[in-house]
Amino acid sequence: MTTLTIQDLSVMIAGNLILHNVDLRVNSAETAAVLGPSGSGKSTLLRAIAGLIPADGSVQLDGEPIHDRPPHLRGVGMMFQNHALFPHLNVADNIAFGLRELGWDRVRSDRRVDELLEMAELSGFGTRSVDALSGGEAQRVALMRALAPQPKLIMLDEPLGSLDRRLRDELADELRRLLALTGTTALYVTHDQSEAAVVAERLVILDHGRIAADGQPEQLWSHPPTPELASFLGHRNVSPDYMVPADAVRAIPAEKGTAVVRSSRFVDGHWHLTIVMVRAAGEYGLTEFRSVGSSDIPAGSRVTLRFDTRRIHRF
Amino acid sequence: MAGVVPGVNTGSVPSSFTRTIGPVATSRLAVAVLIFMTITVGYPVFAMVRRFADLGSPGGVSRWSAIDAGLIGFTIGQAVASTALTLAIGLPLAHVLARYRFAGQGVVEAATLVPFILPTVVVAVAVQRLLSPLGVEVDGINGSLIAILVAHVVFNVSVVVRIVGGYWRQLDIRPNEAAALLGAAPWTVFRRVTFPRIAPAILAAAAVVFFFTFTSFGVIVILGGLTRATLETEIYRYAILRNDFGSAAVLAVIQAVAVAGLALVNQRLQKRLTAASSSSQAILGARPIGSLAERVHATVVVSGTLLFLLAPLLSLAVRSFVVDGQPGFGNYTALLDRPAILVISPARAVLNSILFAALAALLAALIGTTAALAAQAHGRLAHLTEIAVLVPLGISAVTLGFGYLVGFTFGDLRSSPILLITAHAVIGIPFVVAAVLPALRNFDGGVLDAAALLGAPPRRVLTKVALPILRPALVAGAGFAAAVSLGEFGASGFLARSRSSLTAPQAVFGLLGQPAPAFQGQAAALCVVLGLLVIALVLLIDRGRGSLGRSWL
Repeated sequence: MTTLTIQDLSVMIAGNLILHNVDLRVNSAETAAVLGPSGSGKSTLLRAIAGLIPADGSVQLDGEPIHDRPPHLRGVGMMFQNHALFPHLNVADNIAFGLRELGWDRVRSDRRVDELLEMAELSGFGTRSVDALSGGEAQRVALMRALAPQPKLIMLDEPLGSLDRRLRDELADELRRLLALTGTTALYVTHDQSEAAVVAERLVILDHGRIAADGQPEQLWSHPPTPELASFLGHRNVSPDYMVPADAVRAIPAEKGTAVVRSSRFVDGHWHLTIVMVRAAGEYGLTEFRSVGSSDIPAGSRVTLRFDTRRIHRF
Repeated sequence: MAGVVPGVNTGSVPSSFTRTIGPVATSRLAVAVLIFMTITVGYPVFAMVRRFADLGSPGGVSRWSAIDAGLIGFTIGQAVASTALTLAIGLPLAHVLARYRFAGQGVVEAATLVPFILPTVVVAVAVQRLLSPLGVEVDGINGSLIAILVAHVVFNVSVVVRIVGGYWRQLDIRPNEAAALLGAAPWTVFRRVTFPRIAPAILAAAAVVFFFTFTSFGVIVILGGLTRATLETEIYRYAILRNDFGSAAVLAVIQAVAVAGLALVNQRLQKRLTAASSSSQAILGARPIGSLAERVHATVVVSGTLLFLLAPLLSLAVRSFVVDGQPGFGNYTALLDRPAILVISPARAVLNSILFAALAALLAALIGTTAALAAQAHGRLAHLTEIAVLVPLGISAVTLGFGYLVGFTFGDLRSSPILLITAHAVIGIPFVVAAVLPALRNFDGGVLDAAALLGAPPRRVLTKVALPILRPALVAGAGFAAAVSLGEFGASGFLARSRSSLTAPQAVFGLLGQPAPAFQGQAAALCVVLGLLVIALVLLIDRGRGSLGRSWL
């Protein structure tokens, strides 16, 4: 069980400061998701911790500094965005690569590879060519290869990035299960909030090379520290002073019924609503409106907005 | 973007290769390559130019008499005629292969490549064997312009088919369809739409053929007799037959300037062609052969061209089995004995060639791969390295051989095969670079990072991951370098002159020098052996690499 401590980590590439004095601590057996828009420095953070790019500052595993070591002596594992499986080796030899580097003999590493394949529900895949794997299979092989030598820390760089939505949701669950099973401290980079929320118990939000927020997913969602962060997390009702989650607003058309609001924005002192349904009072049928200003609530009609005031967040 | 600190540049991200090897070691590799290229290319060219500069001294003036209008005129004239004829014969086949889809298309394309991959000596002898019985006199004294032109066309048709046909095939058909709907008849569509679009490819192909025929050596030495000479063959004759290095130097410097210029023009045209290639969105025009007229047209073009290309090779093979007018294997068994006119037996020369090809390919692979790795770094040194290893493309083999002859005069170097092997390696390096560099550029550097994070130190990252992945490209590059070495004739004429360095093409040339039919038969047999060796090698390289000889053009 290992704790990762990063202090004052900065990376400069071609004159651009990509990471700016980053301080971060990931507790033992914790999975922290690093979330941020593209260009925010997420992948750079992982590559700096791994020693793949030059960086200033200190990186420690359990208090032991590793930032002066070359990548192969740092004891961190990494799962790459495109998996980076060795095309000239089969599935078993890919997973065994790190074990052979540790000096394990054939018999012992074979046994460990079999265990890992079983854990990933890939028993019998050992002799397959990596070219013959589906996206999900390749992803699990890449994870098992990274976990095989039991690294103190595992880092995952957008591991589901290239997959389609349905597969992503499925595999995010799978990743969470496998990371929990091995109890490895993990740093998980993604730009997808729902994926981050599924896999990680902690969110670290990176923006322009700095840590903009750090906390539990639900906590950050309901109480984002800045308006920018609220927008980044997908909130639409954001003003400089406060934020209203979309499902905390109800629009009530003149006299009767309730409109369900998909999104609303407070701009120039006015509320702009996108209403998806209106539930008429006393009736149970639903009427769906495709856009704002539909015939049932004509433009210019009066509506009453009802807010769940407990959920309004002030910055 | 916030977080930008202007004015400070700490360099860009190193490639995974540079990181694995280390920036200092990468620079050392680049320097090693540059030193090798300076010694093996820069120095001989310098030695040649020094000879040329000696002309300023008294008594050197008469050497200028080596060049006359006739020599320059014939050099350019035969190249222009060869290029025009090659286009005339190659374009109809390029059209058929680009516009129709038919069974056996791959075989036809591969067959057109056969003469191109064969050593020039083999093609020259084959054309001689075909034309002699047809009444075209090709003997050692008179030579024959027709034979030269035929050999050049046979050798270069595949250049036109590859460059023009390949470009034509991937053109979007929709502009042609639009022209037809606007009322243009088929011929008008060709003249006003198709031709302007394929013109850059025709120009590029013509430039390549002109380059090859301008620097043609084996064909002209063998088929031109003593009377027909080009700059390339005159350098050889002045240096080797008349021992007049000064005159040879004058011609070699002129030739070097011309060839370097042509090579640059070629590179420009090729680059423009690559840039003009249409996108993957194109709708292609290739379709099955439809009407009877189309069938007749395609059949006539394909069979006519193939007959023209392969007939010389067939007649060569047949001739090799004729001894004193009777069929037999005598020409082949005779290869084992040393004839009085050669310093070793032809069979020994073949073994020499195989050994030299293997060593030259190894050296070329080593230097070419090192250069390709060094070129992965950023900066001027990497760029310079990449250019340096491509320089041999802009130097004719004869110029290189002559440079070695006048440059490496120290010790006993010239009687050992070291110079020959080095020259062959230098000629082969661009082939290795052409195969390895794209493989490196497409290389997913992530696997190197992955290996490092799995605990592999840099040396093992290279040997256990990088090398196995790059092996196919490396083998192909080295294989082509070996094939080129097997048939190399220009530089060898200067360097393969002792017992220990005589190569198979030089042995063919030696046998041809004697008019006795027995020697002519043996030359044919030796050509067949050499040709089969090269074809076997190319087939071996291309197994599993798609169509035959793709990497040659």
